[in-house]
Amino acid sequence: MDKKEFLQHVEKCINRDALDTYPGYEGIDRSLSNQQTIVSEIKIRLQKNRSQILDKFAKTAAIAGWNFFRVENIEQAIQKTIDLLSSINPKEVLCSEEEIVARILKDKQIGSLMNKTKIIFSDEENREELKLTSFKADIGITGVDYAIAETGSCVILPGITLSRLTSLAPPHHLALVEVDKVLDTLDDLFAIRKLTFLEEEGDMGSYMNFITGPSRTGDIEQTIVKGVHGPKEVSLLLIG
Amino acid sequence: MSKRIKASLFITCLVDQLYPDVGLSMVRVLQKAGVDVQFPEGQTCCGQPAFNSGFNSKALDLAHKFLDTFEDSDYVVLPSGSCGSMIKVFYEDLFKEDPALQKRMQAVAGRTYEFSQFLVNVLGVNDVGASFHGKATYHASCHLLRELGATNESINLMKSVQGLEFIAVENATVCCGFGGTFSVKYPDISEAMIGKKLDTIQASGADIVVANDSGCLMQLKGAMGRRKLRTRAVHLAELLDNKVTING
Amino acid sequence: MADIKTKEFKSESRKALNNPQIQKSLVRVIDHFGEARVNAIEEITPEVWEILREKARTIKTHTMSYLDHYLDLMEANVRKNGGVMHFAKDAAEANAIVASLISAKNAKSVIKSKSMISEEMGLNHVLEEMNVDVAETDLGEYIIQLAEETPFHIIAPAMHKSKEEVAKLFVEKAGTKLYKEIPELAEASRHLLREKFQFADVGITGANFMVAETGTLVLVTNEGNGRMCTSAPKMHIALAGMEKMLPSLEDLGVFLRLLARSATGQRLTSYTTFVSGPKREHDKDGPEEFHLIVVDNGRSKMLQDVDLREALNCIRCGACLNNCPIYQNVGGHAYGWVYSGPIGAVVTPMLVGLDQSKDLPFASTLCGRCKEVCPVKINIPHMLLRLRNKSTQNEGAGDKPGVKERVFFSLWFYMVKSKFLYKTSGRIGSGAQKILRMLKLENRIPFFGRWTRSRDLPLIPTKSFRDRWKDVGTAE
Repeated sequence: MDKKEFLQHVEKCINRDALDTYPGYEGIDRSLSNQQTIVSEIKIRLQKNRSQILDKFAKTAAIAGWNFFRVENIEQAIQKTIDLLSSINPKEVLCSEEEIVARILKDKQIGSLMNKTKIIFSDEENREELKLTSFKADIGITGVDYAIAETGSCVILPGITLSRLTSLAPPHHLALVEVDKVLDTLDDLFAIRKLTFLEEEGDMGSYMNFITGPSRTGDIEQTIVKGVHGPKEVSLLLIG
Repeated sequence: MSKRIKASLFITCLVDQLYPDVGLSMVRVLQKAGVDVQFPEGQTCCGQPAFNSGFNSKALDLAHKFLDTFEDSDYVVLPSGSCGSMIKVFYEDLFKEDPALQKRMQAVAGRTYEFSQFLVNVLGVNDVGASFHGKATYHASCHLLRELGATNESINLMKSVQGLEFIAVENATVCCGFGGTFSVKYPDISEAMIGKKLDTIQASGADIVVANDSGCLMQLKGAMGRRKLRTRAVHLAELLDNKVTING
Repeated sequence: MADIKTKEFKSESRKALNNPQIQKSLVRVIDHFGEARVNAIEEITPEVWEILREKARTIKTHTMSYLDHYLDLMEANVRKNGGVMHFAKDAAEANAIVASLISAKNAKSVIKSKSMISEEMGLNHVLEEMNVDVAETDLGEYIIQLAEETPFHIIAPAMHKSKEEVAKLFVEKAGTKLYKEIPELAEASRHLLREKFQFADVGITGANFMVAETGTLVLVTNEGNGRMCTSAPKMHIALAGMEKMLPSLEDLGVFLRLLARSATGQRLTSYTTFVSGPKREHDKDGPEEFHLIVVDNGRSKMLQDVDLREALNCIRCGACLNNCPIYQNVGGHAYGWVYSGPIGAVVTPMLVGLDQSKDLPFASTLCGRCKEVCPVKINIPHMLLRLRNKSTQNEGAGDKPGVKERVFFSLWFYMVKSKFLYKTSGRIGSGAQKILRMLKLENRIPFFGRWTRSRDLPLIPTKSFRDRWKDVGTAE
């Protein structure tokens, strides 16, 4: 059925009064400058409540099923990453290309300590190779664009530096989260994304994922099993 | 009290024809609480059986009859949550074609109360001075609980009964499986529902189970009788009227 | 359209009641889903919960009142994002659109993430007839695909199967070895489906929400299969009932908080995936083509009836099933089609026809538990009553209610209308009952027999309340 016919039918079924015209919708009609104000207020609030929000995030992330670690700086983050990788002993590590990932995974300490491990950066491969690598790798390491304290979620916006599959196909995912990425609520996230949408004239990118713990299923006898299609283990390193 | 409260009884067809003792107990409890009780003789049924079966026009006729009978009453009090919700919730729907009539109906509905809600929320009575020595549990009738929002009234009244040991059961708010014609249209499901209900009542060790709806009571009594349970199902009014004794 | 077995409600519910495995599974509906939901509401606080429910209801009511506007906006934004939005008036049209997209791509292998609307459409059969290899990738859906069944539950389609039954299915239909434990079975499904994830040509998903403002589709999953289907293949086809619409991005804050808590008791499911069109040119991966098929398939009939419109607000969380005493006893298959439980009893008659599914609105005690737990406050009992009325008025129904029932209510009506008949009926009844009881015929009367087979009838007293009222009424 073509669009016009379909919409006409829907309109007919709704059977609105002749005087009942579309009243508008605040969330959609908001101007860019109003959205900027909203977001700058959010940022002030986040700054002010930073330490409580981070404490909350530590709790919710653990509830969601992340192996949660907190370190103070890059040096410690490198050390923790080495510990983690040593415990997994992976053959192949697939890394995305955000700055934080490069700073840690391209550090010479990692290279020298992990001689049996192949560390692959996703920019080294074309699309098809990357797909196969992601299904083969033992762990995927990514940065995150945001994190949400309310729900214990990491928010990932795949695009130029980050493939969709790196955080999904390997059995282990390590998310590197800098403290300034942590938002308080779902509403904060949507407000910020809305601002991007308005600033980019209606394009906020093709994809966004909230990751809230490991892949899990309860489909057989409602018994929870981790790692059915996505990662079984998810680790989160909060840095700063 | 300067003026005695006057209340008309809507006795409901099931109580009138099957459980008259419940109605009489309600009269005595209300009289003891100082209410001047009336019984308008023109009343029959609220029409719920027809309405729940989809025969709305027949139910509408009976709604008219109810309005005619009770429009002049100060209060209308009835011993059943489901009939109460028929009057207070669903009549409004039936009268939606006629706003003037609907408004009159709303006014009467606003003065209509189920027995336990009338005692507690209108009269402010939580203790009627009854006594019962035994263990009692409560079955929350669905319409009373979810349509009329009676969460605590009956339990408060029960807990004030001298000597009564109140036992809470886990599935007290789960439907007993009566549902009017549902109980004979889908007897297998209805039986499974009452079966689970009785399992927990039996396990609780209660001597009596109290309910405020003759439909639920019919289902509970019917199945308990067949299972030959020691526990008895009684209406709240009978308990408050000291008419309940422990079996065997 | 998927097979319709809604006429067999009575016999199928009896079968379920007598099936020990189904009864065992149904206990978990209460113990697992029921409690998880209650705890989740406690955690967010009941006060906040009520505010969210009210907001959700307001948003959905508005959206449905201007659905034409939002569909239009959605289409414009999907196009802007580089995708294509299609409109299908029924299952057949939707199936035809999917088929033509797949043929055009010359696709041989399809992976599917759980989609209730594709169940409505019976899409898998259509694809199988085209010799396309189609794999359900949600573990529950995969199991029922192997078993060739319909979903038993909206969010846990295979919850009625024991692990032994699943293990046997895996051996017989997927060629695995015989596993004993649930983690092994889950692991096996991971391996079975990995290959398909890597090499499938097309991913088909449903949609939990559509956001008109941004042209975005939202998918909520726990396993990660939804992400796989929207990441690995070169084409993504999404199917959505037209009612899945929300106006703006921020509305998701309300609905995401409600959905997972109502469904599984989680704050959020493991994955919440937002798809706004195909991959952009610079993206590392993702589908090159994105098609969204919006389906009516009877929904406009619900839109048309103001008493039934709010059924379109449903977000398919399954809370009404988990809390329904009927569902808790008979499970999902008795309902005979795709949707089960209280919301199924409303939606199914509207989508497949009331004449096909007359038992569904009547197979409820109207206990109101569904309305109480619904995250978007749908008044399901009210709609069941509306459908019952429609069915007696022959509105949209092919046949009238049973003659016995009509006669019964006509007789009853004359009785309760007339004070005299009403007064005497009790006495006649009482006398008749005594005679029948003496002759041991009480259980033989049609209609009453279905009561008395398991329950005693009350003994009708000789004197009714009105006969005895004067004794107490004048006591003071």
